[in-house]
Parts: sequence; structure tokens; C-alpha cells
Amino acid sequence: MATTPAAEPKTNHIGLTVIDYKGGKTTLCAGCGHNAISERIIEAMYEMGVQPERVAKLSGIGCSSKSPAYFMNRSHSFNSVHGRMPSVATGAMLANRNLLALGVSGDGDTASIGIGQFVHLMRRNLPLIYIIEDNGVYGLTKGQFSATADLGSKLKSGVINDLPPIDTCGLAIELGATFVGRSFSGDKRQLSTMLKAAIAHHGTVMLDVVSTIMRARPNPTNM
Amino acid sequence: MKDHEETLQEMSFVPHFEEIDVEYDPGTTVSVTMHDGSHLQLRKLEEDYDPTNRIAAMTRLSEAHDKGEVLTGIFYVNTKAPSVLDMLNMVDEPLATLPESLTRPGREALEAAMEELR
Repeated sequence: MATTPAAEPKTNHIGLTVIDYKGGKTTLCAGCGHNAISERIIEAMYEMGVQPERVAKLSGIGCSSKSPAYFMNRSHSFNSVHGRMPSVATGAMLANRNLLALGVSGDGDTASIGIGQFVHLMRRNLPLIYIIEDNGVYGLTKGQFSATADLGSKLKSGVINDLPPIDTCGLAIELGATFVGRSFSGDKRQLSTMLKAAIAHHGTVMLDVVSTIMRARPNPTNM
Repeated sequence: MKDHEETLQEMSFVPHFEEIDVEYDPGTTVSVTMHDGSHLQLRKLEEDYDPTNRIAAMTRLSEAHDKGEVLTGIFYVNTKAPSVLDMLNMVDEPLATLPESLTRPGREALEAAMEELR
């Protein structure tokens, strides 16, 4: 009996399949927006034909910073200290400017403990794609407010946030970042397009991606 | 002791949720219901928005914040600014691959520097 030959897998312009851009199985909560962001990164890198071995994934600490393990497992990866990813990224890029640096951070990692490093990174225009997976809370430590949580937000425990948020995009523009944008983890088309533009940019890209979280996301309308 | 007892963490079950997908046109808004029932009001930048105007970008962000909206899109792009690697005249080759003749100045260079400092 004749068998139908299996269809050739689809490849990008450097001959790789989308499987070549995958990472490990996620351990984040089912439905978490961070997983959607990882999917968009895989998609954008595949479609832009980026050689995975040219990419250096860098992160800090938090749910967001775990996520580089879930995409592009052929790339270099460095999970650094809380809020200190910019220093490591700067060192990596000084040592080899041919790398494509992709930093993944969270709102806690960036806007609180890492704010000093973030500020100086933005003003240097280091070629780096800096993604903030921004859910407004410290997810790993059970959901305390981060510095990007909206004023007046209320947690399930009844605690109200009485501090104004830091707008990381406004801050990045003010400081000299040369590509600044914001998207939502569930907007596949917009986020994918922005990531592809980010890959093509030479300089610091700061993308704040508002992400969903399984616990309550602090929001004024949550009150 | 018990007078000062405060709950720091809540042990709870995290249920399974489907991912939230949205699709909306440039220049429009969409209200997104999050997993906990709260809402986000997203507004996408118009297609004819000019991302090269830094002041306009800051203004748009402030206006959106005042309206309680989350503005999305590429706010600002500057393709002309030099990177820190250009400013430092970093070489194209990875530093680890440079030969010793380029990374070690040698005795003559050291002596010249010492002479200069005398």
C-alpha cells in the first residue's frame, strides 16, 4: 500500500523551523500572560530569521525572569540577580557586540529593586531589547503591589495601594531610550509586530507589556 | 505577640484559566476583562501617529494616564542616536577572540606610560 510522504516542515529564510526557537515546558500558571509573551518572542524571532545562537537571553528574578527558559533553548541564557540584569547585559554586549541581547524583566525587578540599573541602561542606548512583563504585582511572593500598580488598586486581602505608579515608558523616553512602546500580552498581532520592529532596531528598545496574572491584577476598577 | 500578628501571605488555589486574547483597531479602545473580573481600558495609537516626536509621546502618555487608559503602540523611535558601543569604539570581533598582540600593550607601552608619569 502506498504511503503519502510527510509534508516538509515550514522553514524561515535561514532554513529553521519554529521548533528550533522553542524552549522548555512552562511552569507558570495556565493562562498567564507571560506565556503568551514567550510565544510572541518565538514567533518574531522565527519570522525575522534570527539565528538562535546569536541571541543572549538575560533576566533578573521573578515570574517574568523565569520565562526565558520557555523559549529559544538554543540561545545563550543568563538568569542574573534581582534587578541587576542591565549590568550583565552591558557586560555581554561590550564583550561581543554581534550578539542580539534580549532582556526579560518584570515590574518589580525593573521599577523597584532594579530602578537604578534601569535608569542608567536607558540613557546609554545599549543595543538591547528590554521587555517588562508587567502585571503590577510580585507574583512569586503571592501578589504584593509593585511600583507600577495603579493608585487606588485593591488586593483581594483589602489592602489599597496609595502610591502613584511609575510609568516605565515615560521614564524610558525621558532618559533617552531610542525605541519605546507598550502592548498587552493578549494582543497577538500588535505585540508580534512590535517585537519584529524591536529586533530590527539598533539601540535600546524598551517594551512594557501589560500582562495578565491568575491572582488579582491590581486595577482601580477592581475596587 | 498576637496583637502584632499580620497576614503576610495568603495560601490559595490558583485555578486554570484560558489565555485572554484581544484584537482591536488602531485609534480605538477596548475594555478587557481580566481573570479576576477587573477591567483594563486599552487604547491603541492611530496609524498616522508620528513616533519621532519625543514631546508628543510624553504628552500622549500623560493624557492616557489621566483618562485611566492604557495607551498601546510604539510611542517613540529615534534611529539616529549613537549606541554606547559606538561611543566606546568597540571592535566588531568578540573580545575573547582578539589576539594577545592587540589586548596586551607590551613592555614598551608600559615604559612609555611610566615615563610620562615621572
